[in-house]
Amino acid sequence: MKIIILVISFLLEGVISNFVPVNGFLAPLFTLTALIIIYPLFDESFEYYKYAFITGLAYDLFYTDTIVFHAIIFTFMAFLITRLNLVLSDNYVNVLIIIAICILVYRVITYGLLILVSSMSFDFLSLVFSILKSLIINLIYSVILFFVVKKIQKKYKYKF
Amino acid sequence: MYNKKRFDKRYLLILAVVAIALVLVVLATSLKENRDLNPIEKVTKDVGTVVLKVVSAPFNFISDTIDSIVEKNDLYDKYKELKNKEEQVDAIISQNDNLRNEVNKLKETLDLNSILSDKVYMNATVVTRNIGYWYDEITIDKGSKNGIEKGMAVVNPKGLIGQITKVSNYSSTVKLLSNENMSDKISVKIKVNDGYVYGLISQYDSKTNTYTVEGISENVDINKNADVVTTGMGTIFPSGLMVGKVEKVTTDNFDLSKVVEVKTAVNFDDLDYVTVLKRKSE
Repeated sequence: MKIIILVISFLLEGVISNFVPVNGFLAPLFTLTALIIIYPLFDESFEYYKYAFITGLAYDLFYTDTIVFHAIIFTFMAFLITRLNLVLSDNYVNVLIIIAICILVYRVITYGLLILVSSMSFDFLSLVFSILKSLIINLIYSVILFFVVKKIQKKYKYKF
Repeated sequence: MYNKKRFDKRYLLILAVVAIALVLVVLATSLKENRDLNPIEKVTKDVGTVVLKVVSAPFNFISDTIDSIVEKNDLYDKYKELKNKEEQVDAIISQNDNLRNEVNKLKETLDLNSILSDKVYMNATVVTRNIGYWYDEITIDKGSKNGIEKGMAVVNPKGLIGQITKVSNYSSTVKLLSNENMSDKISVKIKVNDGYVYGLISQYDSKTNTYTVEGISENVDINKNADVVTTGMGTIFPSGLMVGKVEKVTTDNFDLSKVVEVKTAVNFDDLDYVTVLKRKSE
């Protein structure tokens, strides 16, 4: 179940990215959103980190051509998610807050590192806009995913 | 107990520093312009391309259907417009034939095997946009086995869109001209009254959808809407690929050279099928 959700989100991210404008920064981060949504389905955090690392590795190989960059970042995000879940309980509003925080952190980290190593110039406004726009599309996706997961969980009364 | 906790925190700090250093090194190496993909990356990228192609097929079908319905609405206007153009086509074809003959004859007399505008075509489908990432790149479904090489020009019917940067066996990555991190400057020429002036594309502004072309001398008059095309110099780009039209002409900070803003001919948000071009060379 966890794997199915992750794989669907992962592929959907690639497909949707074909239909959103390149310059618009309307970046779907469905994989990250799915990682946050499926956190309650895990029993131990080590397994969760493992999943995050492998997802990140697939992300590198499929999409961004960065060797293990996303694997490390995703593992770090998983660490952040487990920490946030200690303070925030598993209801929808809290999941939204976690997603917002994670997208903010993810965007700032990747942009910061990219600025450090590449010849791009720092543009604060574009960073802010990218965060806002990826928030919109991912929050919408998380609403759908959250309720789908809850519904399946209830229907089959199955401990994933 | 207390000591153990402190040790853990220190340990974490060291781990974090090492991780950050590692990430920076990895990112720096992986973003290198002329990096070759390693075999594992090549295989997974090929597999990924096939998978994504299959997955996105129904989505593409839906969007194509919507497009065709929208297009049907203004079919009549299109028809009228085309009818007007059709009358000019015969004249243009004959003129084109004539010019081609002339070029061939001149080539023979000069004993040239190829000229800069000779090119080899290859069509490809866009599989993904690069996502979660700050560079504008697309992945296409043709690779080195199809004869694609690094540095080739990629166009769509409207004009130049980018350049091949990474090649695996059956897929390759195209860096779009709308990329903010453009290190390879592309040489272009702008049509003025009786010839061309030469310049380099230095950057792209996504807000106004324009390129900035620099290195043009002060004493030429450039008209608005003049065509901007590639020169075929420096890279393995063929010459004469449409880049855009002149939008605004200004001078640089020191009044020494002109800076031209060029409106792109291409809509970077709407790339489904592209053509890869290679300059024919012996």
